[in-house]
Amino acid sequence: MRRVVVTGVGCISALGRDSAGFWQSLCEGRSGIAPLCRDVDSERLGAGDHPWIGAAVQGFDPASHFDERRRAVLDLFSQFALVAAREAVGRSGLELAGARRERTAVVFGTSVGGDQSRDDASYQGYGEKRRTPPLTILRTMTNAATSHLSIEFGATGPSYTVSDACASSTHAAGLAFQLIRHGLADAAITGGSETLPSTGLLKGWEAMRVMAPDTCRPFARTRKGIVLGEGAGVLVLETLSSARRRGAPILAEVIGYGASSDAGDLVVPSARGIGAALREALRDARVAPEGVDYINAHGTGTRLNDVTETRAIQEVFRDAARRLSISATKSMHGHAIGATGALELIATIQAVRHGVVPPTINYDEPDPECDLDYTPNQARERPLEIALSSSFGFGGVNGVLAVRRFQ
Amino acid sequence: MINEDAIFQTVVRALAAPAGQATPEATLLSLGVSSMDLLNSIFVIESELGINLLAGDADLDDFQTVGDTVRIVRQMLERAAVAS
Repeated sequence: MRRVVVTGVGCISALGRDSAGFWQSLCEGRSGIAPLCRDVDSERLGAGDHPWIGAAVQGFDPASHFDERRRAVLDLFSQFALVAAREAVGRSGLELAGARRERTAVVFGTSVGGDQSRDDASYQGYGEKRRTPPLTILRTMTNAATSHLSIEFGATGPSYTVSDACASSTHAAGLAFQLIRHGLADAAITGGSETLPSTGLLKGWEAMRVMAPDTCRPFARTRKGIVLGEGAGVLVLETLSSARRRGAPILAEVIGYGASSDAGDLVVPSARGIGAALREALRDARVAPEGVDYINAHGTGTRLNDVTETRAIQEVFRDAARRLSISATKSMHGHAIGATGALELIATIQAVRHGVVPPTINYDEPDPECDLDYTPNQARERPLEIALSSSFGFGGVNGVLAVRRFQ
Repeated sequence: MINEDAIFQTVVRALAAPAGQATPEATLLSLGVSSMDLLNSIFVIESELGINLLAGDADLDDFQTVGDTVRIVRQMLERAAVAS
């Protein structure tokens, strides 16, 4: 089997519009969570009728990235994907020409795709009785970002869109890893993108009663739920030999991927299902539980997720669970749903590169049922060799990626 | 009735054509207008001028140049004026 390395990362999130700003904010324990102030919500619901908080990308100007024609066909989720991908591919130095184009895949995750464009079309049609813009389908389709990535960079290898709720981009990166490792591609542009939900879907999230009213406090006794976020995380994966041949920067090695399905409840997580994905990632990476130093947890801040995830980690790692560093970076960048796995994988890679565990912020009171080391409130320096990034989604879908510091 | 120059300006704006290149003779291809861009441009023109391109007015293939586009829009405006 071929070794697979990460040669470039790029991201845009509530913590900044590039990967350097993202990592710096994580190390400083800075929160991107704030009241949502979107004109569209006031327009559609009435002023004052949207008491939502979220982790929104700040200061993003589409016109500074895309010309007018391009913007017409790009929903914000595709724009985020392209901006993050430009950074990742630029940092990687990957140039797609000749045979390399055919050997480069795009595997990209999103949960709902062009949600804002879909909401706009519905509002225009049902609410305002106006005509629907002709590019609506092209903006909303779930594979739009994937296709725009392949077009932008000229990647003519296979392209796949993975839509698995909160595990979308972890599964996407896992599948990209497998494509390369098993020789179906030599390189891949992978990750995920998501925007904050449209007004209509925000009402749906609200109706599920899983949203925290104030902030996100993963693993703390006081936790009250998730805080939605948005953004994109993109990674360039390629074979180690290809990266060495072209002198590319090697940020980390991807060494394992585990996936499982709860096959139980759509919402209630299962320690058995989560444990199966963790075990499979370790088996795939040929790493014993004692070999893992850090887990970037799914850590949503809901009562059920955090206690179930803790239980699964305890069952899989047993005595080794005590020496693990764990953090839930959603406390800072929010839960970016289909993009969250990619953002957290980037955080995990930066953690092993720099030997710094990002914190779980807003950790104000320990929960007796969540009794592991969640790196409360402050980043911690610690040599990290192997780390995991976990994502678990509605529907009972679980994905775990294992990375190793590259020397 | 909107004059010829105003129609031309509306068309050029809707096509998002590069400044100075959108002459009546310029082909949409040379301006980088894809079929997808054209679809969106027609929608913008229709919304701005309050007209509708009906089946039988023109096929997308009829929109070869900026001048073609202006001509088709003028015909649509004339039909709308007669109807009102």
